[in-house]
Amino acid sequence: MWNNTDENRQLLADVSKEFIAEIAPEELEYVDELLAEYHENPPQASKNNDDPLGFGGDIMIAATPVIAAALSAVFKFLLEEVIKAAQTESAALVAQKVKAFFNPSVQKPVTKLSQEQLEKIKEIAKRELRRGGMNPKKAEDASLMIIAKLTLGA
Amino acid sequence: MNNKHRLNLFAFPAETNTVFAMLILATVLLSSFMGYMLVALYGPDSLSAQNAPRQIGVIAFTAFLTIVIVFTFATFIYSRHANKIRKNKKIITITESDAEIKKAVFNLAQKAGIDTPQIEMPPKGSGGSSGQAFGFYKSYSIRLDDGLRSWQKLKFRTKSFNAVVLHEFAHIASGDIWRTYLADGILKSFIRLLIIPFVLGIIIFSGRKLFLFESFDAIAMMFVTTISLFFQFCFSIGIMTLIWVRLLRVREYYADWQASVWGAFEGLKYILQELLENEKPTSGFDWFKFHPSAKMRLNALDGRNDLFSTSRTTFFLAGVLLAFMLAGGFQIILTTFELILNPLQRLIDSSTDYVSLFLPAGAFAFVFFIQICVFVVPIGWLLSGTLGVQTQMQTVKDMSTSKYGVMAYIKLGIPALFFIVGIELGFLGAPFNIMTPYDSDISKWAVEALMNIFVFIPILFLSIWWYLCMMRFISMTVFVSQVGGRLSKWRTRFLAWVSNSWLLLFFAPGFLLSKIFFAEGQLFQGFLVWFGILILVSPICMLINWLIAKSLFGKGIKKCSICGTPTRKPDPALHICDHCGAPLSNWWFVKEIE
Repeated sequence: MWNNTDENRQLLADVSKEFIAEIAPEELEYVDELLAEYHENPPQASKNNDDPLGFGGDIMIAATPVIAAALSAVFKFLLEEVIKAAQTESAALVAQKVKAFFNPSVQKPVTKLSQEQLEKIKEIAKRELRRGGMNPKKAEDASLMIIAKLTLGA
Repeated sequence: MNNKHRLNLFAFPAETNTVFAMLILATVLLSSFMGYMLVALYGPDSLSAQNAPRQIGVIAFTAFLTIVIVFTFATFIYSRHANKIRKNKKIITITESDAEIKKAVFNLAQKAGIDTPQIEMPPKGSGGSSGQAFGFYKSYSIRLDDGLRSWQKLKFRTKSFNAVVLHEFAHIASGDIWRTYLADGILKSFIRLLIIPFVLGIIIFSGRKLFLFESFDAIAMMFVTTISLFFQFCFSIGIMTLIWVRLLRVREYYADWQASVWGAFEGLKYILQELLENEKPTSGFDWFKFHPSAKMRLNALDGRNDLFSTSRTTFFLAGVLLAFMLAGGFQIILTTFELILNPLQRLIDSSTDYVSLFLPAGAFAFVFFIQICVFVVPIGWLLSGTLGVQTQMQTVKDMSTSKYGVMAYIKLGIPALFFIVGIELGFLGAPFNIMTPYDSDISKWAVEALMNIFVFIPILFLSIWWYLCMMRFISMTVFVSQVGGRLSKWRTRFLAWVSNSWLLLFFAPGFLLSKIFFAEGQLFQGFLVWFGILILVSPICMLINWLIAKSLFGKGIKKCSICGTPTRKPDPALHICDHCGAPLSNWWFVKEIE
């Protein structure tokens, strides 16, 4: 599967760093370490623990794995869109095409995303960000940033 | 955070600990009473004069046995809770691979001044950012979620890591662990052991009545009684669970405060702010949640939701638990002491001269005194620990904001009212309670209920309100002369004595005597005794206590604890030092560790 390839990991790292620089700049120092942890143990859904003598709830541990998870979900969606157009191309080319979605000014994407697809991507990203414990406002902002990146590029 | 605006919650004993003790005692007494009722349900219909002593013995033994069984099973559940948490959360003691966590937790334990507990964590990748304190008999552990591994590594999350760990340490330091899990064990034990025999007993009892083909009225009455008993039983369990949960919620505020004193204010604030932003709008029905909302916790941490005002909820809960204790303990203690008092009474009756009367009469008086003490002393102590302490805290808060007027005394009527509502609801809810206004004759029931509403409740209200006013007045006398960094133990002990003396000598006997008179239908005599005690004797008690307070604590030259400059002001705690400008009463304020 393309998901487990080095190309995908590299792409995820490249794109994630761009978002982390804006959403959680304090994590840039640890981003490689956090991404490695993410690949080893993807983040679990945030729980709402109410155990006696507990702390009384869970919050997001770090933004990096949550953003990476959201981007992975977006990649998966985009991949499906790419596959529809180019089912036989190599992994490297697929990575290049997915990357092109995020930087259309440099590399022309194979397919232009429709309004409906963008809405769907926003929904996927937001759901993943919320699942990872990001607060609603930040999740909304981050998902809008992803859409902006897909439509406007760098 | 500005210390000047944060009153020192830890200058006083935590009243919630006393409510925990009340909850445990109330459950134990209700258990004993349920044991007593099981004998009534399964045993013969009526006592015969011939075997009465034996039957009283059986009842007392069964009640005692029920306490032992319920408590033993509760202790078993309590002892197993740690393993249950380990199994449910899939946690194990951390190994050398988590050495950094171990070191960080050790350093925090040193800072908090507690022994480092065992640290248990789930496998990597399980997420979560919470913690939990647990453990059995001084062998305490804290559970830390996997996410704290990351927080410990990320420099910008160190404060969040510290906040979670210190919050859990606060639960350990304030003795919440054994109270929480033992109370949980007792409640579970009460439900699991007694509900089946109780329901079966009711069915057998009802079946027996039906089989005997008693009159239609008797059978109808039996159905009404059975259903109401069942509802009362469920109500008791429900209300005790609710009390337990609410107590835990208050303890969360205390844990946040303690962690904040240990330097976790910023970390706590960050986490709570994040929780607040993630909180879903609720329907408002969160009565059975163990934690207050993030918003309430933030307010408490910032001093906006202060813990120094008399809490209506605490007064209400104390009232309910007092009623449960009285309902549960009243008959069972009387029955048990009957075993000793009855033979002594027969000896007195059969005595022919003063010499043969002297010894049994003396023994009778002594046993009767012990009986009153067994019943009244724990109740007096528990009420002092809740109502008394809350009034002291309110007094300090009012002193810090210069509120000394009559209105502050009048306002004490509100918590007094909540306490009385709690008592009345508790009596209505406790099963088999002889103190509930009840009679099959509706006219008698109505008279009793009206007397209760218009005479008994007002007297009860007046006596509690009067007690709170006295506590406030004497507390103020004691507090205004206290300078330095801490409230002296002698002053705390003296205030406990003031509270106990009033409750033990006047309130409790008056209350009990009136109830005994009521139970025997002598309502007027009951009110007369109680009201007479209240009007005549309690002001004298107050005056004596005030004079003692003045002579013990008001004299002598007080010095500033910062620069040592003496002051001759009669109320030094209300002033700042003329020399260095520091508050003379800095025991009012929190001292934080950086």
